[in-house]
Amino acid sequence: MMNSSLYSWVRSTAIATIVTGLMLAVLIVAAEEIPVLKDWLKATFYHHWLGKGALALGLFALLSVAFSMQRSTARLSSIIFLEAIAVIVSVWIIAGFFLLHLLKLV
Amino acid sequence: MTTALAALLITHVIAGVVAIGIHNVVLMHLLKKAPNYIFISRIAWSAVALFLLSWATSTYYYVTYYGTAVKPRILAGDAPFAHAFFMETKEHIFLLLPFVALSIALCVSYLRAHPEDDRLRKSTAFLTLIALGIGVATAVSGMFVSGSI
Repeated sequence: MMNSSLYSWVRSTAIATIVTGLMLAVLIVAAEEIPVLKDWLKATFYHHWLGKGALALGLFALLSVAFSMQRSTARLSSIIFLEAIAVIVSVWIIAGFFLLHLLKLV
Repeated sequence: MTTALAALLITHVIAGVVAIGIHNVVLMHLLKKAPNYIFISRIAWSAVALFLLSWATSTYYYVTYYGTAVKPRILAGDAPFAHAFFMETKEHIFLLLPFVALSIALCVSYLRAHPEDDRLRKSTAFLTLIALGIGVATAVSGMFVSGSI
């Protein structure tokens, strides 16, 4: 029973990390490109970085709990591998954007 | 800088560096055929706690001090890219690390009960390698930022 519950949490936090990472990458780029969005983050959360962190935490918590209630027999190793790839993609989007921004290409 | 802000910054750096070091130890153990899962599950959870501590302590420093007192000096100095690229990238990819650390801790806790799942051991080692890479990149970026003032 406990192992089954642990399986669900491993799976749900991995899925939540995948979605949160990609959401963060999109939000970070969008906030730099759309001043209204960055202003909204500042006005709502005091600082745009706090806003991104709060939204990421909220989404991660929501998805972790939601997916932990779902039954699945998916292989954990595949989900964790997918999570690693999603994290790499998110980091490349963020770093790539700021590099292009530095080079004044965006 | 006030003493409180200096203490927060020092805590941020030490907690972050120790957590990165822990991920290195977790990775080294996961590369073995039969890792000591009791040991690595304990230290992996410590890494989660340390990343959260590093996150929390940096938040106050970054939001109340960095933007008004440090950022303008970097942008006006010889290495404005230290903020424009290294700080911007570091502050944002750092948001991901506690989630990844939590995932690693849960994986090794699961492996403690299921040591026969060799595919999960390998996937978790890969995820830990990625977390270690992000951690090291974040720490090195912090050095560029500090060294640019």
